[in-house]
Formats: sequence, C-alpha cells, structure tokens
Amino acid sequence: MEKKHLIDGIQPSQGPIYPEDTIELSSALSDITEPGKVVVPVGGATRLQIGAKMPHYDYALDLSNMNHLVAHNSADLTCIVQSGITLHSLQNQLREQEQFLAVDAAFPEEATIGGTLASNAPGYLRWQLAHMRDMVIGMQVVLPSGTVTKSGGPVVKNVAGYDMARLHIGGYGTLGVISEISFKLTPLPPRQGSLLVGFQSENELHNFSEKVFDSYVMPLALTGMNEHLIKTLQIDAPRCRYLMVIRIGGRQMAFDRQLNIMNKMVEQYQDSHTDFLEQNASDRLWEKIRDFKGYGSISSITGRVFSTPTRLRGLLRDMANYFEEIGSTLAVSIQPGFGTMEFYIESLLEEDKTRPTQVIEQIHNIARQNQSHINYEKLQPDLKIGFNMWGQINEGSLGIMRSLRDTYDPDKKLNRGRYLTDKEDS
Amino acid sequence: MSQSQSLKMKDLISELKRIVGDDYVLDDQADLLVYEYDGSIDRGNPVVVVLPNTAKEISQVLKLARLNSLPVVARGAGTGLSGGAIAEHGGIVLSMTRMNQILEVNRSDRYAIVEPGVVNLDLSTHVASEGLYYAPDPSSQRACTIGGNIAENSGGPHCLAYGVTTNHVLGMEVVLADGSITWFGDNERDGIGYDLRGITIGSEGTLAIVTKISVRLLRLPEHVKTMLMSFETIEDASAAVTGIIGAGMVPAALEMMDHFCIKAAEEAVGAGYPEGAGAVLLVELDGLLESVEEESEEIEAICREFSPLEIRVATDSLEREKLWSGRKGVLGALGRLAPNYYLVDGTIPRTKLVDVLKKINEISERSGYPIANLLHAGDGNLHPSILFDERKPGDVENILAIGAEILRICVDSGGVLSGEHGIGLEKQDQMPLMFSEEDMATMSLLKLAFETEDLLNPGKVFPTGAGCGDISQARAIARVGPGAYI
Ligand SMILES: Cc1cc2nc3c(=O)[nH]c(=O)nc-3n(C[C@H](O)[C@H](O)[C@H](O)COP(=O)(O)OP(=O)(O)OC[C@H]3O[C@@H](n4cnc5c(N)ncnc54)[C@H](O)[C@@H]3O)c2cc1C
Ligand SMILES: Cc1cc2nc3c(=O)[nH]c(=O)nc-3n(C[C@H](O)[C@H](O)[C@H](O)COP(=O)(O)OP(=O)(O)OC[C@H]3O[C@@H](n4cnc5c(N)ncnc54)[C@H](O)[C@@H]3O)c2cc1C
Repeated sequence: MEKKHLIDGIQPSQGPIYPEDTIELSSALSDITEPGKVVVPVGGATRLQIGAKMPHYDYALDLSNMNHLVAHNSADLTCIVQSGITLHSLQNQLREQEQFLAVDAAFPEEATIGGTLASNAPGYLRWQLAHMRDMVIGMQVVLPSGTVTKSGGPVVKNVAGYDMARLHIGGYGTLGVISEISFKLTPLPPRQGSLLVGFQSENELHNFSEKVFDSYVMPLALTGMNEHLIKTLQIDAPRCRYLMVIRIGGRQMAFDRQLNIMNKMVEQYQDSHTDFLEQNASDRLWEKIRDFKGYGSISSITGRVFSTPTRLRGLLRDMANYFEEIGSTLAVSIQPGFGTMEFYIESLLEEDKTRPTQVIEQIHNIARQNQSHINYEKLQPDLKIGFNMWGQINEGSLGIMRSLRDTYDPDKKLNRGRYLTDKEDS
Repeated sequence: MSQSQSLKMKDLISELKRIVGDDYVLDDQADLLVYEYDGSIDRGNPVVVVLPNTAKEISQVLKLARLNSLPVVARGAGTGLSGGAIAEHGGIVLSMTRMNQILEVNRSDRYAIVEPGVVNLDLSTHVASEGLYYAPDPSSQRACTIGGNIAENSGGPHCLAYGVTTNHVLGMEVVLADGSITWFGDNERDGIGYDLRGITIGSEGTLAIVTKISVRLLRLPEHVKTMLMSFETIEDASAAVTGIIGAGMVPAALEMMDHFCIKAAEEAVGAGYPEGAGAVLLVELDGLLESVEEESEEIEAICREFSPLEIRVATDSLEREKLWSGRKGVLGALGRLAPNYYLVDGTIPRTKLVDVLKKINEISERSGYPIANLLHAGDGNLHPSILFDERKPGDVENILAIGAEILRICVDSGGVLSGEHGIGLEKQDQMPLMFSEEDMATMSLLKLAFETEDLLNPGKVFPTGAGCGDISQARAIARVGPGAYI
C-alpha cells in the first residue's frame, strides 16, 4: 500500500489503479459499476488532506503514470499535457525553449498539473499573470461513467461551446477526472530578481504595497509577511517586524527602471531595511515561501482567507490583535495584489481541550467582520468533524453547485463526502 | 392563435406591464420589428419585448415565463454576430438597455460594479480620470453592452496581451431561470467551490440572466507605441507574426490586413499604406516606457528579416489614430468593393497562418468570390470576409457554404469554430466539426444542472439542423455607428 493513498488515515479498500492513458482511465472508471463505490483521483497526493473527513473509500485512481508532455508548440506558446505530469517535470521541459507555465504551486516535484488545477492550488506568480485558470485553453475530462469529453482546444482564443474546464478547476475531482490539458504559456523574462523591504509597522507594509500597486511597476509576484513567518522561513531580514518581497522580471532596461521606482519609494521610510536578490537567490527564496504550507505538528492549522486588497488591512490587524490577546503566535503572509491572506498556527493544543474550536470560531468572526471568506488547507482530522472546512458560500450558488454534482456524478462516485456539495455524505 | 391562447397572451402582457410599467412592454408589431435582428444572418419574432430596470423585475418576469413555458431571450445592444439575441422561438425578449448604470468604482481595489446594459466603452471613459480602464475592447465597444460581452465572452484587438472578458470578470449577480437572484463570485479575485462565474461567461444567455457585474479595472499604461509594417506578401506578414510570438513577445495588439482590405481602406480613408503592399501588420505595444522601447526594437528586427516595404512608428495619440484609421475603416470600406460581405470568425494555431490563408485564397480563386482577410493575427483569430451580392440568385447559399468550408479548414488545422463571435444560431450546426456527441451532451447537461427547463435562449449553441436567412451583418454594423470596425 502506498503511503500517499492514505487520506485522513483511511486506505482504499480495493487498492490503487494506475492508468497509463486516457483509454485506461476511461475503462477503469466504467468498470467500477457497483453502487456506492468511492473513487479518489490522486495526483501527487500533496493536497489530499483538504476537504471534509471521508467515511471510507475504495479506489485510489493514481494518475502518476499519465505524465507526458503530449505536445509543446513553442512557436505558438502553447502545450498539451497529461494531467499526471508534475509541475517540475513540465517546467523543466518548457524551460528548454525559454518558456514556462505561469503556475507555481508548492512542492512541484510531487504536485501534478491535474491536482494543482483540481484543487485550485494557490501560488504567488499571480500578481501580473492572473489566475491559473486563465492559462487553461482546453481540457479533456473523463466523467465518472468513463465517458471521455473535451472542451476548448489548443488555440489561445476560443468561444466555441461552453467553457467546461472552469468547472473542473477548483472542482477537487468531483465532476470528472482531468486527463489532458492545453495551456497557453509565458515567455521566461530575460532578467529576474527580488527586492526585499522590511518595515517596523503593519501600516508601513500596507502603504508601501499600495504605492507599488499604484505605480507602473508590474511585479511578477508580491507578498508581505509578519515577523513569525520571517523567522520560520529563516529569511535574513534583521530587526524587521514586517517584510515585503517583490519579484520583478523583464528585459534589462525595464527591469532596472522597476527597481529604481521601488528604491525611490523605499527612501521615504525611515528604519526600513532593503535587500536585493539576483535571480538564483531570488528563485530560492520564492521556493522557500511557496513550499511553506504550515507547521509540521499534527495540531497545526493552515488557512487561506479570500478578501480584497483593501480589506487585508483590517484582517491583518484584527488577527494580530486576537493572537496577542490569547498569547499565541501566528505566522501570516498576505498577497495584496490578489487580496488573499494565508495564516499558519503552529499549535493550539494547550490545557483546555475546547480551545482550538473557540479559536477557529473567533477567526471566522474576524473574517466575517472584514467581509472575507476562509478555507482551511490543513486542519487536524478530528477538528474536521462537524466543521465546515469550506467556509461560507451563498445559498444560491451552493444550490447550483449541488445540482452540478448531482448531474455529473449522481452516485457521488468521485471523492464522496469531501467537497462542499456533499455535506450530508460526510 | 386560438381564442383562449390569445386571451392568455393578453393576460400575460398586462401582467408584464404590472411588473415593469406600461411604457416598458412592447407588443406592437411595428415596435417588435426592431428586435427581430441582431448582427447575424438570422431573424425571429418575439411575442413581446420587456425593458426591465431591476433584477427583481427580471425575477418576476422569469417566474411568469416559467409558469407559461415561454422562452426568454436577453438582449444587449443587438450587435452580436451569431444570432444570440434572436428570439427564434418567439417568447419574451428582455432588453437590458435601461439597466445601464455604473454602480460603483473602487479605485483602491481596482474594480467596478456595473449593470449589464452599460456600453463597453462608457466604462473605460468613466474611469479614465482615475487612470484606469476596462481591458476587453470589442471593436463594437461604442455600442455593445457588458452583459452581451459576458454572454459571448467577447474579445477585442487588445485582448492579445490582456485576455478576453472571462479574464476580467470577478463576479456577477444573476437571475436564475426559477427567478431566484444570487451572486456567482463577488469582488474577490478568488473563491471557493465550482467556478459558476466562469461557466456562465460565454454561455450565450442560456444559463442565467446577468444583472450586475463586478469587473477588474487595469491601470492605464505609461507608454503606448504603434507600428505599422507593410509587406510584399501575406506570407511574409504571417511569418513575421509567427516570428514575433515565437520570440516570446506578446504585444498589446497584433492585427493584420490583406491587399483587399488595404485597397478598400486606402480608398475610403486614405491611411497612406504603401502601394503594392500584399499585407500590413499593425503592432501596438504598451506598458513601461523601457519595456515598450526594448520590445519594439526586437519586433522591428524580426520584421526586417521579412523585407518589409515600410515601417512606420507612432508614439503620440494623433499619429496612432492615423495608423489605426485604415484598420478601423476597413469594414465600412468593404462596401466599396461589393454590395455585401459575410464575415467569418475562426481561430487557428498562430503557426498555421501561412497555410490556412493559402487555402482560403484557393477557395476564393476556385469559387470566384473575393475574400478579404482581416485578422487578429496575434491570437490566430481570422475574419475572412467573403464579398458577394445578396441580390444575385444563389450568392447567399454559396457564401454560407464557403464560410462553412473555411471553418472546416480552421478546425482541421487544430483550430476552433469561433474566436469571439460565439456559436448562437449561426454555427450551431457546425458544432459536430469540433465536438463529439458526448462532448455536446456533457455541455448541454449544464442547462439541466441550472434547471433552466430550456427556456433561457432555447435552440442556440447546440445543433438543430435549422436553415439560414438573409445577410444582415450590415444592420448590426450600423448599430455600432459611423466608423464601426471588427
Ligand atoms: C506535504 C504537502 C502539503 C501541502 N500543503 C499545501 C497546502 O496546504 N496549501 C497549498 O496551497 N498547497 C499545498 N501543497 C502544495 C501542493 O503541492 C499543490 O497544491 C499541488 O498542486 C496539488 O497537486 P497534487 O497532484 O498533489 O494533487 P492531489 O493532492 O493528489 O489531489 C488534490 C485534489 O485534486 C484531485 N485530483 C487530483 N488529480 C486530479 C485529476 N487529474 N482530475 C481531477 N481531480 C484530480 C484529488 O482527488 C484531490 O481532490 C502541499 C504540498 C505538500 C507536499
Ligand atoms: C462592427 C462590429 C464589431 C464587432 N467586433 C467584435 C470584436 O472585436 N470582438 C468580439 O468579441 N465581438 C465583436 N462583435 C460582436 C458583438 O459586438 C459582441 O458579441 C458583443 O459582445 C455583443 O454585445 P451586445 O450587447 O450587442 O449583445 P447582443 O447581441 O444583444 O446579445 C448577445 C448575446 O448576449 C446575450 N445577453 C445579452 N445581455 C445579456 C444579459 N444581461 N444576461 C445574459 N445574456 C445576455 C444575448 O441573449 C445573446 O445571446 C462585433 C460586432 C459588430 C457589429
């Protein structure tokens, strides 16, 4: 039994299946006809911990053998891949032609493209390059019945038929199994690097990021973090309470100009600390930031808050105040360009057993007060029970989501009980 | 219509008047005529046109329609080129033109909330003083509505670098077929659950009626530079396009016109294109001053490999407008070459430009119908325009067959049936060229999931085997007004 097929402590009762291609994937699904059997598509198994706790499951549909780059049309800046290819393997092959896929989810050596899309994995390369879903131009999906379907195609502009791929991005493999994807690609910027700017106050951090947002600088990525995260990541930024990391890229002159604009901005802050990292060091720092997905202990918690750039101010302040009040530490990163925040709690297991639930409730209150939504990336399995991992969603949308689930997977063969549509099954 | 049905219709109309007010229900034949057409070849008569002002009113109209099993077709400005707004099966046309308010502009979070009847260009004009703009810019932007753009997932000349409508919509308020009102997504850039926002965009009004839209606004660029390059042959120009994209450059716009278009534009607006040019490329770069300069140098170098007849550069807005004038004037100018034209919309991989244009040329020679090629070349989106005379017997049938043949070539070369104008009624019967029965069945299951009872814009997108009507693209172009271009 492979360890990666263990989800919240449960193993597949009938074992794993390893299809080599779409045809085998299709017949694997159509062969499972017994009602009530549960299939979990597995990519790199890096995000299987997300979702409600599953009562049981029967098959791990492991896509790791569907790992080919089917076509790379470099002159057209497009490619077609099988869903089980890892991000790392794909990026390596694209780099040969000085191109890349503007997706930078964590642990690229294990994470597959299929899993990354299905779980709508967050990344940092999104300030300028938008959302991962914007890179998808076509998709082949195998329905729970085994039927193979496609939408879109390997061209960059297309409005023929419904844009079905959208349903599967962030669908956590509940409407079908992604088998092949067409992407549009991005040329690698000739020059890249990162500016680190440290601040003493939250206010300075926000002001600075607003200034960047308002300037002509077009960062590839931008993230801010608090002292605990700086320490945890062991970033060399002495005496900084907050740190902003800005990744820029471009041709030489454009690169220098962006750096100049930001260096001028920094001059206005006393006590600020700046550092510049050339490409290699910058890449390594971003890998470190990207691959930190929370603390190792069983009781650690990782959550994401969806908000707007300006609401991040209130959110960060209220979260910091609350954690100070309860005497716990909180590591936080914010993506002001995108309006998201990630928080990492190392441990809450103290004398009082009810405490973690209280803390989570209070975090929810803070999010609600700041008109934001929370989604847990990591929560200990026993806390998942009786708890909505997925945060709030309006009733109208939820109704349609349930209806989609009932239409495309009426027997809930795929990932039963784990998604926000399946409350009664979990 | 039988006595009881017509009575029922009378009741229905008075009920509709109660919902939206007497002035906003049209059932007079003369009034309805205006709503018979959009920019496509099709036509259809609605029974009644309703002009609602709020989502609540739309909700009531949809409930009433459902009770009476009446189709409902939303309509923006009627500039659509694939028959999307045609009430083919009668029923109610919901004209969204009164819902034209820009409700909120949030400069710090860079979004605006608008009603669906807001005209595309009006939004950019409105936010320009804040240094912002709304990126998707269909050539019809002076007339088309954001609601129509959502339904068609419209693009525009500047979508090459910035993406099409779906890349710029954060969320929207919709009225579902049962009359319930809800939001798909909101002002946040990310969300939880299936992407209902994404699946509704481009669904051609068949899943929900959009009543509010939250769109992303971008910062106006620091610098813009436009270049016009003329080449001896269309092959050279196509090779230059492939060279530019292959070198990893994605300009803001990369447009191409062939010798027919050049000739027409020259005669109409005197854009000053060099004589004897087989094709021109219009390249626009924007962004940071330095990046524009660095990229324009590289682009020039690439183009020089294909022996351009001339390269002209514009950096101020007046000069830029001059370079664009030929491109923007083409459509109006085609009228000088023939009484009618039929504009086809398909996309191909950019590396196939030379191949496909050659095949289109062969069709033109074989059939005797001139075909003017207008292209959003940077993203492989072709608009071959077949010149003909509607009054000549057989011409309409012939050019429709040619249009279909061109689309088959696009699909065979790895491309698709529509780059930006949608499927609607125009191309529904060609869907099997691209999609299997299973693909289409899977797509149409969405209507089931949205519980539309197939009353929202029925009979569109998927094949029915229906025929064709007359050519009325010209009518839609007139709706965009003087200087309309595609
Ligand atoms: C230990 C560890 C922890 C991590 N924690 C986080 C985290 O907390 N937050 C974060 O943002 N990133 C996290 N990552 C990053 C992670 O690398 C990516 O998000 C990754 O892209 C997910 O891909 P996967 O192949 O591992 O997917 P999997 O984890 O295998 O699958 C994720 C989901 O997608 C479904 N799925 C997989 N393949 C398909 C397919 N082809 N078609 C349909 N559905 C499919 C699965 O059923 C499942 O619901 C973590 C990585 C590691 C190694
Ligand atoms: C001269 C000219 C140039 C053009 N250039 C371009 C171009 O560059 N790029 C491009 O993509 N298109 C272009 N078009 C096509 C057309 O303008 C677009 O498809 C546009 O988005 C249609 O908008 P509209 O408001 O006219 O919609 P309509 O034609 O009225 O309707 C189009 C579709 O939208 C649906 N709809 C309208 N409002 C709503 C709503 N609120 N909720 C749900 N469904 C709704 C309708 O039911 C219909 O299916 C051009 C057309 C012309 C005539």
